[in-house]
Amino acid sequence: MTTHGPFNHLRLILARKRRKMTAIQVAEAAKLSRVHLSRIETGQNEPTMETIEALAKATRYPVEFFFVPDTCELPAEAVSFRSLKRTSVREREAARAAGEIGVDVGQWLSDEFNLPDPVLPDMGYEPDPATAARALRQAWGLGEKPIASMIALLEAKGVRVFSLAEETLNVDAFSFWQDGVPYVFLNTMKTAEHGVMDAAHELGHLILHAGGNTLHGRDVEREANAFASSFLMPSEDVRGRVPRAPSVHLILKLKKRWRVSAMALAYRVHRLGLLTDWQYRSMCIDLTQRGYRTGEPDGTERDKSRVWKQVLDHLWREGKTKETIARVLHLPVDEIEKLTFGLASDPLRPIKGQQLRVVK
Amino acid sequence: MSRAATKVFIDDIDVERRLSELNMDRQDILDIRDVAASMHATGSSPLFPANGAGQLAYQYGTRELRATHLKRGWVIDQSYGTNGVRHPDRKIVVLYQNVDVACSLSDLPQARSRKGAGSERLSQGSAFDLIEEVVPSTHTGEGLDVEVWYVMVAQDGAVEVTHALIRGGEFSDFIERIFVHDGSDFDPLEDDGSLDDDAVDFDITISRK
Repeated sequence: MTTHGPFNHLRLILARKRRKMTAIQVAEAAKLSRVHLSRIETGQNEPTMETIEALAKATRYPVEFFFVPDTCELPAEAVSFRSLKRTSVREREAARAAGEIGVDVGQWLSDEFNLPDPVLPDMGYEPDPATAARALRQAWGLGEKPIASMIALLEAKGVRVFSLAEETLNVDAFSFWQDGVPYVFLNTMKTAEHGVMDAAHELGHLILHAGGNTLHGRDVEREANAFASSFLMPSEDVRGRVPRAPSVHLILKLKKRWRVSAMALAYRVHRLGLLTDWQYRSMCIDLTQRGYRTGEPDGTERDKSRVWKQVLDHLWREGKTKETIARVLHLPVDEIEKLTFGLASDPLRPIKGQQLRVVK
Repeated sequence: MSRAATKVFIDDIDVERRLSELNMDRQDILDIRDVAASMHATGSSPLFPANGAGQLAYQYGTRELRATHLKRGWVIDQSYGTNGVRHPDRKIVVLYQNVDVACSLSDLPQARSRKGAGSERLSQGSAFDLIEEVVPSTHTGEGLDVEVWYVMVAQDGAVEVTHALIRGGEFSDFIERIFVHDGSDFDPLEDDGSLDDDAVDFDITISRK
């Protein structure tokens, strides 16, 4: 085993949080006293190699991970969660840790591949999210057309997009800027339509709230929601296709155009004044009875990263696998799979050197 | 007088040299194209009239043509009701034009809408010594004697700067064609095969360092 430099206690904390483990759980799994672990985590004690191996086993992270010198520490306010009430501290910390690991992976990606440069304008000056959405569409030449893939759009504009396989519905998505590079993390546990809205919501945060915003909490989330709704469903395109007081059948048909949930489209139509309050309430009741509040029947196909698909294809041609990336970055293989929309675990990929042969 | 063969500039170095001789700049032309494309997409909203996309592309393409060239000393030109820019010292006028195809050797570009009489007259101002036969019967022979060039922008992002003549409302003779960009740098607007066929999709190409 090769290790360089001293033990990085911040990496131990990162691994623990990523695994949603308490210090007590790690101490017990590694057969250490709580005080001993606490002293290691605070950098007061230098652990022996035997202890480090026990910690690696407890956290299911490779030993080398704890010797990586730099750790990108995301400030708490850099990562926003849709619903702080519903999200537990441990879930938030695990998601934020995924973000920090994602930055490592993103930096490796930039070192190894030529990727689109970020071209996101700062629209923090714009007080109206709908105006910002329209201005961004114009700046990017999108006109009023629907977006076929939000992830592809983000990637084409230089955003590094990762998946969050958090196994919780409480974390939607989050985004942040790190060293001039925008990052977005999307929870793949949600419906495809929810993922589309999340991606647009995070784009709103990136362009509206990048330069430090005076708004906080719910106001910021409300702005990002308004931005996402306007960006995905441009008012003129909606008005041109949805008549006044549309039927629920028309909403269910048209939601596919913008790849949004029926509820999101109904909300947008209501906001545009095409449904009265009473009609909107009735439609929500109808949609709820049809199962559209808890899920998305007749849903659209899920977005996947096109950058990661190409990266993995490149690596495959070079005879490299997800294990190679994991080894280079000193990460567990499951982290690579979780961050790459499951593309890395695609069982259909060919294995280099393996050929079909006739068996007689 | 015999019809002259079209001169075509394709290689980057030739394109930049020829544009420079005309006191034009490649990046300016690409900026004009980008603005026009953006406005074309905006005009595709169902609330716009059916020709909204082309109209907006023309109006903002012309605006950008003027914005970029006035900085270089060109002046606004409105001869015969056309809208372009004129070189301050030389007899050159440049106009914006939406076309069906650009930068193709097999297909000649055509305007997406029929050209008017004013454009036809203007384009033939310098045509006497080039192609005698194109002079229309109504022409008085007292034209402005200018070379008329067009920044021809196709919907797929291809753009060329072309000296052409108009006859019968169409581009009929091409004197010089400068292929500025084939549009391969453009975010393709593709059909995603879903319910609606006008969704915007993006091709992303990455490469190894």
